[in-house]
Amino acid sequence: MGVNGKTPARAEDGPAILARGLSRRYDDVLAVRAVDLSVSPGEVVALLGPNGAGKTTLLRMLAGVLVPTEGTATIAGHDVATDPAGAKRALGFLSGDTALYGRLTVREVLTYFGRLHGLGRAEVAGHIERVTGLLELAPFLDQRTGTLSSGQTQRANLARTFLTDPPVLILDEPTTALDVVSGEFVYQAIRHAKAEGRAVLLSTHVMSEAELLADRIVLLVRGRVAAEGPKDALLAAHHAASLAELILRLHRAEEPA
Amino acid sequence: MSRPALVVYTKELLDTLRDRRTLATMILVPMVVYPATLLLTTETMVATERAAEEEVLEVGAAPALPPALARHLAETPHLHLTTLSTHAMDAEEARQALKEGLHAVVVLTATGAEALAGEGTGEVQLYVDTTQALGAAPLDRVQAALQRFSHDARARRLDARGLSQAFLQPLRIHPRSVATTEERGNHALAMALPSLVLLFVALSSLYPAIDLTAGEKERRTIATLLTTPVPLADLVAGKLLAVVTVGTLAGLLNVAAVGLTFLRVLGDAEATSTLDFALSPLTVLGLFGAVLAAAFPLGALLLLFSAFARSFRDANLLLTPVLLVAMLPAGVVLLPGAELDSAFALVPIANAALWMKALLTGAPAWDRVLLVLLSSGGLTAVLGAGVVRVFSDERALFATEGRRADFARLLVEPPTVGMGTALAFAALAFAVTFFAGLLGTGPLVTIGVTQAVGYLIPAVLLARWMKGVLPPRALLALGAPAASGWAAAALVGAGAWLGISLPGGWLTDWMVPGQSQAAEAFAEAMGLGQVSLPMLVLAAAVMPAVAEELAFRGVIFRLLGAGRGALLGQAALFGLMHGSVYRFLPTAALGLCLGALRKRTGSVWPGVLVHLMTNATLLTLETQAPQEVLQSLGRPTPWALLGAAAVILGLALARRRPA
Repeated sequence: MGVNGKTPARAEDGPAILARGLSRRYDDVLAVRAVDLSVSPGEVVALLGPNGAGKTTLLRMLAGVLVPTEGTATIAGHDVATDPAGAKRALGFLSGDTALYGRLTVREVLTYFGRLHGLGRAEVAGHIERVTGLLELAPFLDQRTGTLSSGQTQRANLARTFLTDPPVLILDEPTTALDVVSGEFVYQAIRHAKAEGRAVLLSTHVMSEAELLADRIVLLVRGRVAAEGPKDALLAAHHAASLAELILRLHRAEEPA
Repeated sequence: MSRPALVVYTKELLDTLRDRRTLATMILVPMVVYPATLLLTTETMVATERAAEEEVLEVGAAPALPPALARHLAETPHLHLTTLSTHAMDAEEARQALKEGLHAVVVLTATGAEALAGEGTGEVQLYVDTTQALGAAPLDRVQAALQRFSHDARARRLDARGLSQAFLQPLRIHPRSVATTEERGNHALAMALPSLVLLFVALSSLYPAIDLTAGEKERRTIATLLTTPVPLADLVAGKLLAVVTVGTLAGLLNVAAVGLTFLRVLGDAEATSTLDFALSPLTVLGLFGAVLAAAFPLGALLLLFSAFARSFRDANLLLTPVLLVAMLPAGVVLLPGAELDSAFALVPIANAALWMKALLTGAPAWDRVLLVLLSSGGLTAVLGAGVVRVFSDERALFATEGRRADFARLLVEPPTVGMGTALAFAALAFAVTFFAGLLGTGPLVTIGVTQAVGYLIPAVLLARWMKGVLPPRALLALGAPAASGWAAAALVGAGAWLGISLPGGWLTDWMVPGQSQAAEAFAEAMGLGQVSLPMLVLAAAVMPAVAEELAFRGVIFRLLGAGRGALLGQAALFGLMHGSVYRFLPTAALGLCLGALRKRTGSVWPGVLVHLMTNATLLTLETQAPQEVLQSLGRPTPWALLGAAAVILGLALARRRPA
């Protein structure tokens, strides 16, 4: 969030996130099947799908944590397989079910991840000041993360994600287990990121969240992209009254892999 | 150490030290609980013993004892004698009397009393019950009193015959050990300390190793860590260093606490006067080095298994048997005659234990210590590469339930290009060449087999295995060089021995005297003099030239990244793996030269030619040159400058084949 006047480094001309034919097999199960996906700078794309549709697997492959069985992916122009460090430097990744180091304070956790991203001590301190203002971390900045409420924890996690000013954000069910107030922090942060020209790929199974935030919706059903487009166009094209109805219908139509 | 690894290390230390469980098990227990329990038990024991001594013993006699003996017992302090009956009690009656509160029953029959009065032996039954409150104290005290009486009676009998005490003691033995108290102390320490220290270090490393891997998995922080742009090798290095630091410090703290408590307890007794310790600061430093030589591979082993575990509990289950087996070699110090020879120096854990033993009982040979370091470093690299491998498997990382990742499948997947693989390859090659060298079946067979099984076959197998990652031609740099490359090789080859190897030898001789003797011993051991020159050149020049070039300038150079760091790294390994302090400088310098040629020409073949020419020169001189020539070569000559000039010119000439 370019409070310091810096515009995020963008992928040269191309999409910020690009996946081509991405597949992932676990033993006999094809969890993700030949997914093509692209997210442009300044665009928020929501990845919707029932549990077990392969959302987390897809996002982990894009984040370079999981090696695809087939296909390629780039983050801000960096190939996740051949230039993992470049891809990860351009990426902020947040998952709803990841925890922070409970014995470290919020400031220490932020410093650690900033340093792991290659920032110097002074630089990290500056970035911490910026995200502290943005996410109102000040009251618990020097508290151990193990003592925080789940809302505070997720704010600290958001701060960690935004700390290095990444042009690409991948958020895996970021509002899981959050109340309305804490969820609003996440929504604000996503809107803010979009306004600054960052690319956001967000997975969720909360329909309203997708409708509220996303420019475009990608429906993932049994590992395959079953439909995609802006919400209204998507519903019109499939003659569906709601996203939930559409997903249910697509899920029943799609044979298991 | 790289900066990301350092960042990981610092954070892990902080995180571990903030953990109350760690602090409790590692600091509170050794500093407080050990001394407290030990002191408490010894004090209780001393107090009980003292109470037993002061308790008045109720001793019954049946029948009444002869007056002299009765008087003797009655005059013994804290002993009260009563006569129980006029007849000799049997065991059952004595048992009854003891159950009724007596501490001991003495039975001397009439015949016994007669024998005592005459010159015979009076048989005394002394009944006690050691299961009673005072334990063995009544037995000890009454027996001692009876023995004193017996001793006095014997003296009186000898007197009556006009004989001296010496009559019954033809010999009196005075054992004297010539070992100083310090030597004896160090010897005792050499037996006890190594396995104790290593065990404590291993136990202290266990908890942090689990916490930093399985713990991170269980607490769901691992995914975030893996989305940072830090290479896995750095993550693993940082974590390993943290485990080693915490494990070593806590282990040593434990040992120190136990040791000091024992000294304190023994200090009250007189044991300290017969044992003393002499530890110079250098010995202590060496001991610390030995501990680290064990702590690094142990830490890597623990990390490997706990990274693989699904949870904290799972890791505990997996690691208990692993740790047990891993610590077995430490017991080697207890074997009579086991010392740090070059075979033991390569056996992990045992080498650290024996190094400690050698430090305490004398001085270990430096080349053995070098072997220990090579072995430990190599094993750490192999295990570390395994940890990186496990960390790159998402099932091993994310699955906290269900079935474990397939360990076997993980291990047969081809390795990646990187330092871990390079070091693992070097470690394996070193171990194989070392043990193949022990075959000792004639020089030709030994050199040929060593080169083939140590370098040539592993290099080819690795290239095949990694062919999905990197084409074998690229890994081994098999492409033909440009014509200029061959010309360069001819020049470098002509000058390398004179301009590089020889001055390396002089420099070594100047720094560590004894090089020339070592070279002669080497030539003699190899039996170089007994083989015809052409056969010798084939086995000791052609074979090593091909095998070592493929291994060092091919595999290792490429795996290390083929850059400037790779150039220095492979040269250092090349020097180290010749396994001798005296050969390090000449071989490392030659390795640098060969590496530069590989880097500049993009091919392994010019190096093969240089290596061949260098080895052939050396062999020809060693076997054919007159003694005076050899001796004159032992001192610096200006001719070396000519050789060096040829090398420099050759390297300047070398160019890559245009693509």
